[in-house]
Amino acid sequence: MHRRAAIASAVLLGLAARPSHAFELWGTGPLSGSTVQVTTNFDFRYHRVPQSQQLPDFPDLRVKDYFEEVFRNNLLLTKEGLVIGVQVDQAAYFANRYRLDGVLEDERYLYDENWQSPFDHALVRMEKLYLTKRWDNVELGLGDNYASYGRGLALNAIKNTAIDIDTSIKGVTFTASAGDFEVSGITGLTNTQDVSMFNPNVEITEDPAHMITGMRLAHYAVGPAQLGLHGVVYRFARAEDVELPKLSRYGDDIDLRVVGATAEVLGVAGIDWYIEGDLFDYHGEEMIGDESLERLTGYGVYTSATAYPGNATIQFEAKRTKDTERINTFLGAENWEAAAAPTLEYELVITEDASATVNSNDLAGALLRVDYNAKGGDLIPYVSAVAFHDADVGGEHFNSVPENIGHAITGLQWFKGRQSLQLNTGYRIDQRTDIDFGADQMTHLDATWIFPVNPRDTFEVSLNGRKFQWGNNGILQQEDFLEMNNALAYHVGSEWVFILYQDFTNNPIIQSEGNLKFIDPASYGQDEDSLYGAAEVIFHPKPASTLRLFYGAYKAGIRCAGGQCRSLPGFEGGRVTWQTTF
Amino acid sequence: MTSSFRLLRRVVPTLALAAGLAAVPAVAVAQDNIAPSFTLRDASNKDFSVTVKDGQLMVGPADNLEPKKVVLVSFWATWCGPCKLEMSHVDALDKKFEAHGFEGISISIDDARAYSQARAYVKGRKFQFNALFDKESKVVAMFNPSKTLPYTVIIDGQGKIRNVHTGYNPGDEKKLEEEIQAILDEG
Repeated sequence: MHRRAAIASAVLLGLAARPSHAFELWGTGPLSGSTVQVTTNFDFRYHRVPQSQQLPDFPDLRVKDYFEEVFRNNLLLTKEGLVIGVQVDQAAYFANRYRLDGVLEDERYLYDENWQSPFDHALVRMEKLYLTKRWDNVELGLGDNYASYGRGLALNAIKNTAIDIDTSIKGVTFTASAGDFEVSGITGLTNTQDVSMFNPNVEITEDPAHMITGMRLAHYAVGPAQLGLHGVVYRFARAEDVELPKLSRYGDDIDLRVVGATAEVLGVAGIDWYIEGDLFDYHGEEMIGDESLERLTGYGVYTSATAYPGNATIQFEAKRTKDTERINTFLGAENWEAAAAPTLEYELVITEDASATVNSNDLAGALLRVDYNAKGGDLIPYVSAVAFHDADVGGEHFNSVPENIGHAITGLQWFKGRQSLQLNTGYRIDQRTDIDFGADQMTHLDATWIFPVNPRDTFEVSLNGRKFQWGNNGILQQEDFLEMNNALAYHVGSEWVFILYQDFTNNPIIQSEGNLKFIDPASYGQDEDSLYGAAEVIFHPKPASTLRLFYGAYKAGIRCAGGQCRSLPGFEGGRVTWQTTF
Repeated sequence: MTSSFRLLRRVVPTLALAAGLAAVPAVAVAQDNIAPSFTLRDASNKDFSVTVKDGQLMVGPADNLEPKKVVLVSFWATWCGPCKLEMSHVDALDKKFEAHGFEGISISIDDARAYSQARAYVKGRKFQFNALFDKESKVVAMFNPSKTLPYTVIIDGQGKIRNVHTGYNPGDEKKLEEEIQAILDEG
């Protein structure tokens, strides 16, 4: 079975790598003269299942390795003022069966049993489809669109592929401008990207399709200020709604209304100012969480001020949010957030504990950061400090009393010819207001140093570590842990990169096992499964194409981008990835 | 279920995939496709457009578009280390070729929540190139749907995408410079 899958993958790669044939669309129709761009992503993965995983009802039988293939094509048709985009995703399993008592059984299922697909082990989806037409002062969009108002407190439906999240609003959007005024609107049902390019695809389910409708009015020249007003209504789908026509979401009661205002003033007294306020009016009982209440009101305020004196950049940000995160009550299982305030956090080091702060329903905080451009911008040291008061003790918080949080970071960027260094290090403490509960503490460091080894090649050293110590959390108490992601990379010109990865984690929450033997002296010399190793070769046959060959393992962990956090699974096995634009 | 039907169900996904792969390049345009037109706001909150009109690439504020011979568009984000390395070189290219009809443009794909930080970064570094902000992922979705970063697009005076660079390795800036120079030399 493995050999068959390997042959299939080789054939597919050969097909994927073949050169393109170019021509413009012809004819005399409305699309004549259009050109087409195709971006292809192909990933073939060999999932090596750890020896310790057994079939649930058969302790003598271990879960077997399997292959997974994912193929994504984005097609973009362009003509003056007109853009039509299509994204087609396809996923398939290979070697995903075992024979038990003479009967062939599926080891795992690619998609939910309610899904319609002609194949047991493959799925093809036209995931995104959109058309955008722009005239001089008007833009109209049909199909999958994205929208963000203000700084994201009221609505922030965007592509967040850094953590494999792409939820669009499938419907209608428009933007119209007249003079210094601009009005935009969007309405539609959410369309979650079902097939993942980076994470294992297992039991893909039908989109719940939440209804989102929003409108924004902006005035861009009130003296030196730009003013904005926005409003959004949400109606979230429940489990029982899946069977109903999706447009029925428009006919049901609204779960949430958000209205907000923004004001931005640039360059006054040498400072860029911004302030935003949003009011949240909840009606959905699941979001209120209290049967005695028919509605609940929340609010969010965010402000920033940035000055540029001399060679320095001084940035101040502050926010106060109360019951704003309830907006994402229905979206936890979908791994995305419809809206959220700026985190003010250094997202690279967000842990489960810090994630609770990011998702707090009762939070006040401020950030101050100073950067300094030295040596004509070749050396930029900085310091930053964040302070929060988190009064939310419910949900997934690791604290039963409010806590005060401080996070200080310092670092630098340094560039000199082909040599560069980027360094960040800091200390974070979550001090409970009741001192008996102690404090969670984290120290962290990440650094990337690139230096030339000869006129053509460069060497890269990347280090990333954090040590976490828990306070006293009662029943939620966890063990202290250390995590690392390190890498060494040798760049041969611009075409080849050879990389060695090494991960380590003894975080007890992590659901993955290392592939390297590690004898832990702190555990009396016992073997631990906390060490991971991998190797990768990256080849750029042309600037727009990348071929990656990976074998090894990396750890599971929480990863955040753009204020959204996602627990990513670990991986052990091999993968072949091909990406090209032509 | 018969064994032949079982075999068919196993083989069909592979054949479907292979057919899809084989069919896709037949509708593709290699390198010479027209760049999508777009308008984004710059660090001063003013509209800035890149558009193709009557076969000529036009760039600038909506009410003051100028023809350009070469435009380099570089997508970046505050969390992308290699992007920051490349941005210094984009700025150097902008300064070197600005008198020859070249325009350097950076587009931040940071979302609204990181917008204040993204703008502070480019203004604080005092870059000369035009810094635009794609808070709603609209432009990056057209140019670079997989959002690989950094992602750099070179567009010629007719609005054709002449080359695309994914990622950044030290030394790539020399290739960018050569490609820009070659297009400028075409006249």
